[in-house]
Amino acid sequence: MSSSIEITPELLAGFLDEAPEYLEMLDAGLMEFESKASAGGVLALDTPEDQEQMNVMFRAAHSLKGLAAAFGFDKIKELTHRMETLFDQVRMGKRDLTTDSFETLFQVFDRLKALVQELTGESGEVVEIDDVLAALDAVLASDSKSESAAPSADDAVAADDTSQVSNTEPDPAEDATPAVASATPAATTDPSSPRPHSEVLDDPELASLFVEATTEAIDELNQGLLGLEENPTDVELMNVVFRCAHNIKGASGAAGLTGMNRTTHDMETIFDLLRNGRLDLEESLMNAIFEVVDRLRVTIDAIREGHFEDVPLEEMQAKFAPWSDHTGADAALDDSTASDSLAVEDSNPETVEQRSGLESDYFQIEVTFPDGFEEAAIQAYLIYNRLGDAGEVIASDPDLDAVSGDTPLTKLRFTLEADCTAADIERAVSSYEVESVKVTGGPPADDDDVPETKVEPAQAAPPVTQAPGTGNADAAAGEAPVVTQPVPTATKPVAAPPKAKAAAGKPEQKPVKTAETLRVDQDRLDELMNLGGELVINRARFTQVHGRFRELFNGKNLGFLVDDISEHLQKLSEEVSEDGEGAPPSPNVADLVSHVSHLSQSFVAVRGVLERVHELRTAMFDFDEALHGLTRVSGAIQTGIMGTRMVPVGPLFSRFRRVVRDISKSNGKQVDLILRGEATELDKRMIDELGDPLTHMVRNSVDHGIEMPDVRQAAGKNPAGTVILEASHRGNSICIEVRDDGAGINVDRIKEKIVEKEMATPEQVETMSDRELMQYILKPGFSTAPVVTDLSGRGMGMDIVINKIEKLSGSIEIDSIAGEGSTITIKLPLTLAILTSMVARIGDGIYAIPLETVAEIITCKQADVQWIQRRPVVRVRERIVPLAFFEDIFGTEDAALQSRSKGSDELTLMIVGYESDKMGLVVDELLGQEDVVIKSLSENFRNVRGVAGASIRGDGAVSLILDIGTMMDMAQKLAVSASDEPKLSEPVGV
Amino acid sequence: MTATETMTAPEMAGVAEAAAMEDGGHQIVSFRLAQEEYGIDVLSVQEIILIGQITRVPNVPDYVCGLINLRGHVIPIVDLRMRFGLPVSELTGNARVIVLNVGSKTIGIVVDEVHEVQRIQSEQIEPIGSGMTGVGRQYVRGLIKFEGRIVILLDVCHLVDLDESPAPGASS
Repeated sequence: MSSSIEITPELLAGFLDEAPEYLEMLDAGLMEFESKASAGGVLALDTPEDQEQMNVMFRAAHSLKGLAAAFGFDKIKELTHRMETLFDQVRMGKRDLTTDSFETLFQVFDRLKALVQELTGESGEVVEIDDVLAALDAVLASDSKSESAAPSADDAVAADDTSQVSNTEPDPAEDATPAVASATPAATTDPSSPRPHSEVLDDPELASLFVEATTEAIDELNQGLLGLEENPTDVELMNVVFRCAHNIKGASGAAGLTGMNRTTHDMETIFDLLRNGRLDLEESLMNAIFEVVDRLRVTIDAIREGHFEDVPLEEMQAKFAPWSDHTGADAALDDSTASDSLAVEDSNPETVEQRSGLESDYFQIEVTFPDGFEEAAIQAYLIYNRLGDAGEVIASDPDLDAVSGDTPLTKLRFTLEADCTAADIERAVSSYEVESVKVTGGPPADDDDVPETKVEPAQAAPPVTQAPGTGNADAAAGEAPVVTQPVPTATKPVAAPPKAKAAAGKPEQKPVKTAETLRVDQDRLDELMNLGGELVINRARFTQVHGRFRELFNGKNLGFLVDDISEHLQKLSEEVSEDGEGAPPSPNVADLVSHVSHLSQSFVAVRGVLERVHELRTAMFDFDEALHGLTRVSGAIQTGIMGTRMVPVGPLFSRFRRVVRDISKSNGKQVDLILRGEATELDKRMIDELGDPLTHMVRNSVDHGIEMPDVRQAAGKNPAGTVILEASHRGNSICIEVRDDGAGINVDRIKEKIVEKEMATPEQVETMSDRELMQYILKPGFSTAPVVTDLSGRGMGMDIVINKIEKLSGSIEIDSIAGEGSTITIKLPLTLAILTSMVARIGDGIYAIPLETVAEIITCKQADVQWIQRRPVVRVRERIVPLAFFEDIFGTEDAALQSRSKGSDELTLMIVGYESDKMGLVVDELLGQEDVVIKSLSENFRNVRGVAGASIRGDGAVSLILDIGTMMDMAQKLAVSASDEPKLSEPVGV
Repeated sequence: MTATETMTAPEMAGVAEAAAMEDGGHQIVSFRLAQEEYGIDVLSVQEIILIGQITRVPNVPDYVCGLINLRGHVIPIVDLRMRFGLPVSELTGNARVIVLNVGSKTIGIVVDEVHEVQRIQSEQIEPIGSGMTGVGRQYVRGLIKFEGRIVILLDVCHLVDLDESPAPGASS
């Protein structure tokens, strides 16, 4: 569309963040509808759910179009535009979708995906769309259903209708509803200008103000409506929704969104009629209102994304059509007064009611803007809104509805009903860029005051609706809707009743909270996660310190000890002085006496200190308590932050419907994909990483696991195979299973292959269990070979899958029963940021080893070490496990990295590895289990092979996290080279 | 200003800024490596810290001493003497780590002694002739003759090529 903005990386990131969501919606919808259509040949939207689904797809296409247009991505725009047109026709019942059309739609979808991919810069190719565009046009041009015109004609009509505007192309989605909107007055403005000229919306800041304010109003409106649904006669709620509609009306008017303005105007009128009892809030009306509100939200969301669009007025009016004899009349009336420089709010009666029971006063406010002030319109609106917070704005001059962005505006008058002081109002208003504010008015002198003043004669209040229809009317009538005679008292009695706003805006009903989300930069969450982790680690440090302090106070018999010493000293001093009696004391004895007395004195002091320490034990209890608090809070922070990163796997899973569909289409298999546990949550970063490996696994299952229908039938199975993708929590980890009921894995072939590749001797192979054998599929260089047809992939072998999974600190298990199918299970930690690990010292260094790789820890005598094929091994529970020293694996001579236990009699072995593949890593000292926060080495350095990252220990030192998977590979290579020339230090005595 | 004490980035940046404003010249931190004097543009220097506990890392070039924790960030420490093939002797109490910002990364270099922050004029920087020092030419921006001393001005961008030479064993 007209404005393509300069695309900064941040903006592009925003686009790339959002576009996939829409793509996913489209994908899910297409998949669902296609399966539906394939049953009957054409798609029938016979349930409300289907309708809704189609609406969702329409909106997705529409939003994507808007997004692309705002960025100037023309290809995406072209495709989505046509898609949107098509969906719109379908949802309006004007077109049937055949299975052929779906083929085209899928192609289009793929192309869209490729286009988005292209933007990421990951794929070097330029995606062309001409062919699918033509195909899509062909679908659009084909005969659609019965009476409807060809879509192109539709477009043309729409284009004519919208001629008033614009350099942009017509937006048929919004226009293509002509038939229904019979009751709408022809005179209303053109609804379909997708890009109204608006200074408000052209200015990003003003636009964002507008969007925020309107969104809030829509939220409130929604809440109010939900409340009304339960309690249709609630006057307060009615006032709330009325005010919301009114505010939106005002705002959209200022923003130049005519469609929204008129729509909310109609809505306002309907609320008014409801309030007056002239309409009943029947369910159908409620639904219509909700639909319109949804549409408002969609529009605002689109505007938020920088896509200028307006509410399709005709469509909206069509929604209100059944009640339109009222709205129509009112709209017409409104039109007639629209040109007047001043309009009272078109619906005075409600203000009467709203006011009923509240003690409020009326003010005249005159605001002057500087000459030529460009943002006057939006400021006027903001002031209006601000005043709306203080009370009820009854009139404005000029009518804000009529003020559009480019109307020059210097003077603005409001009539406000509020229970605050003039000074309050002045303060509220003058905070905007106004030249001067004049507030007059105050409490009306008398209730008999003229109910309707003629200060602004031009604006007649709408006639019919005036009659108050409820019991409150009497009280209200006295207070009169429109004011003005400036009443002498400029200020207002302070002791006013509770604020009008509070009363009106706070319905009794429990507020229905709308789900609110916030986009946050992932890096920020990472940072928070790290800090949360540090907090937990620091807490652990506290616990250590606490423990040491505790020891200090643990001396329970300290008291006895003190008494004992004291007693002995006492005796000593007595004996010494007895000795000295009678005879003149020898110098020795005299010395002794003085020493003893000195000692006694010192001990008194020491005793005092010890007693004080003993008293301080109570401080220890405080420490305990504080530590408990800290533990609780830091734990909660950590889980809380972790929670913010968790997203359900559902969207990731739904992707595979398409994968399965495509493969089964291409190879003629019948496959049902069943998704389970879609609500299971996983770290967002992990989900991003899981796409590839899962695709590969699912592909394998369908491609190689599930047999052809005839084969299946011959085997007595259902000709349609089943692939189940399931996510579940298991303790502190997440399991993702890909299960198929296909042929299973041929174990004999694996055996052959193992022997052929010399990964084990035939004898060894024979002793292995099926399970152990299957893990060989995951070995590098194993699966890519075509021999294991059951699981061989296309280009990307299982070793790459396992590689990726291990990078995520996860593990893979394969299970299969020949003829019955296979199950591949991925086990992942809940988050990537924190690792539960076993901490050990090797040489001078302290290392963290991911706990899930640690099977057990054993000690063995040097004498237990045997040598097989020049590799040192130990026997652990009847299994042979090779052992390795850290320095040998890394091939380092660095003194600090040499393990101390080499050559000693007893070795501590950490048995690490995945599944049947184990290794005994020699460690010098085991320090226990710890949660560590993973820091990337590449942030300031680079990745180091065999090292998964670093973490900071409680004392501030850096320790390395070992990458066991890679270390085992390294050890394996070592073993291979060792078979030529023994490199591993041969233990003494063997 | 002698810099035997640690200095924070803002202090340095302040000094540097003032200098740049006055005469458009450079401000360098000079330091000693073995018996030679080197300089680094102060704008690349984040801070100067004492040498703390360095964690050794396997599988990295010799001149990477290891990793330290700089307020929650793990940064590598490089021994420039080894990097440049200078004689390596025991570090004394004067030794410091100069923390540098190189591109998006933060690294530390170990130096035998930090001298001072000096202001120099652009024209004081002379190009080096070939074979003048033991340091590879690509790391040197030029020589500065200064009060009878010669300071080798380093180019931090090339000082530590973090992607170079895959660790031993990585390719085997």
